[in-house]
Amino acid sequence: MTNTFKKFGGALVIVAMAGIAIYGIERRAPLPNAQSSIGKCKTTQTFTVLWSIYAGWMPWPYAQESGILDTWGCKYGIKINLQQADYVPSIEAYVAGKADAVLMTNMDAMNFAGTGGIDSTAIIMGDYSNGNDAVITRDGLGLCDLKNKNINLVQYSVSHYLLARALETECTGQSAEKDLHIVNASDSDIGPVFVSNATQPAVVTWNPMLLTILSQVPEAKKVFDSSQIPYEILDIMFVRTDVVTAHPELARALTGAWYETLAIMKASSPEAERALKQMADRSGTSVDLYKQQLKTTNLWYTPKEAAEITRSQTIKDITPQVAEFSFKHGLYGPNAKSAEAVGVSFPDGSIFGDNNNVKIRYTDQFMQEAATDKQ
Amino acid sequence: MNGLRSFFGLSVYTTIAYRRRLALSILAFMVVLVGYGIVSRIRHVRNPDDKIVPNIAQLVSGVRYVLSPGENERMLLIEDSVASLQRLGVGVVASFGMSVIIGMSLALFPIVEAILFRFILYFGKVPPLAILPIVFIISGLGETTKIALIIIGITPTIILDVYFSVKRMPKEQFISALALGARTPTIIRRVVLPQIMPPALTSLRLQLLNAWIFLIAAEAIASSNGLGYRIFLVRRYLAMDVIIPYVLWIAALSFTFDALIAWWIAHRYPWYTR
Repeated sequence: MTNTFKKFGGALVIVAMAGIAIYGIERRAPLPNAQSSIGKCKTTQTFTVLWSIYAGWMPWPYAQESGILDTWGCKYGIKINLQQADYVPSIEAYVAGKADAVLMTNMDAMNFAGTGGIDSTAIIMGDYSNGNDAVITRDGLGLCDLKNKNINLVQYSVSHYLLARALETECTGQSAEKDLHIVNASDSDIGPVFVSNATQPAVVTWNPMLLTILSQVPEAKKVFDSSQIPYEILDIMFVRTDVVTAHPELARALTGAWYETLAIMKASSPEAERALKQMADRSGTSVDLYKQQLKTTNLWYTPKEAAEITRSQTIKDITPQVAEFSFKHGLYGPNAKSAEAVGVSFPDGSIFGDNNNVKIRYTDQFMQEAATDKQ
Repeated sequence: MNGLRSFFGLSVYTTIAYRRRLALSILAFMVVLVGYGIVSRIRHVRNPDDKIVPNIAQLVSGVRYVLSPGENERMLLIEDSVASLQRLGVGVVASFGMSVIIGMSLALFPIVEAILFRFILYFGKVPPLAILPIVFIISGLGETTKIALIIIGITPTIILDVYFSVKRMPKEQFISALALGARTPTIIRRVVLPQIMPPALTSLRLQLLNAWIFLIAAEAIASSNGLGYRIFLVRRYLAMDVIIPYVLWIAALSFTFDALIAWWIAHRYPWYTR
């Protein structure tokens, strides 16, 4: 026996380690305050919602950790499993069918979910970028002086869209997107590369990278930001249409939890400060910097405002622009015939694009219900 | 001449006294530290708030941050380390066990070799990060994906190392064992396993760095804690004052595991390193 142990002691130790590690993972219970209410209620079904770090989405993890989300889930007899991922992978996982809902921009909804054949409904109009995305240049270079210059950005992201719109609105006849050298960079590298490389003339990025770059590079300045194209970059909670049709209670629970959380944030109370602190911690920054980011994120704090903007002509006006950009850059894929390949329906029943291929549906139903207190 | 020779000669006839060796080793660390200090100083003269090459004061505040309690009332560093080490532990141990079993089977049983060898040779070359969306579909966004990435990433190489180790064993050993009446299970346990464990463990040592790379990549993509997660989280703010302590910590952990495996090989299989 001792002989056997000597021979395979190593293997035994390894198996024991595996056992301990697996045990550890099994045992990792949810946060203590997250389970407070869930024990008492009967839930029939679990839904997965994916989120990623962005100033306008930080209320979601707070709603989860403070128990607000569970309380609302409980009310409708469902369990909402909020899961964090990086932005693009979270959308990929949603399109792959691994989640019921995801937070994404209007543009990415059309490009990923729309072309990926995932019929999606916009249930909560969260915010628009009101300066959270910007074009930054060095040494006093103007927006229209970027001809033949290298410009770093995350290709095909809202940054790319912002640049295209900036050139279109400010520099007609002077320089167009095709005259620039666009260099693709990942969002986590974009800041360090621009800060440490003094020959890098321009960059397009979003917060928190934006604030970091401006504070680190004194000779850098904003030449265009998303507040100049308001309402165009929208951050929205999307749910699969088949899921929301069969289980509208998911949308009701999410809407309820969302506006309760926003109301806490908006109030000037110690609880609001605590919530903001927690959101700042969660995004890895200080309360001051987080508040700065919120300033350039136009959150619609009440369901009434959010429902109104969803019904407005604005949404109908920007959709073709976004579609045009996506089509022109090949984001609709090689088989798309026109910018109208992906159909988008609006609350009043009108449709942009292909009638037979409606994949993105804007609805004010759940926000309206929350506003009129039908919940 | 002799003095120089005692430093720059071939290892066959040159030995450097222990103290000198130690001093030279420390010198390498010092050169990097001083170089870092100079670069940091230059950058801070130009911009006192420079974050890319933090100075001592910034590093101290970074360390203080990672030692402060996070959402779980535990120190960030501890919470992240526990999360990452569990993933790494399960991934590495599972990979190692699978590799030894599959590698031995490939080398010992021609039928397994016929079916799997070319398959593993080919699909072992697939970069796991490139097929990430498929891994998502198979295993979701939870812990499984992170562990799966490590396994997909390091298993093929260890399998092949085990395979070639078995193939290198002299045929006579098998023939003698068979002649002495040993049957297949005994041969595997008494003849093959003891001989391939040291090369397999050595292979694991070399793959540890890759395991870390895949773990950090996976944590950067879909996670809410872990060493890799924290690094990518604070990278948006260029918080090198947090990243540098984390990187040094990861290196220290990795160095410890490497030393432990090396010690185990030397202790358990003294004939191997001799």
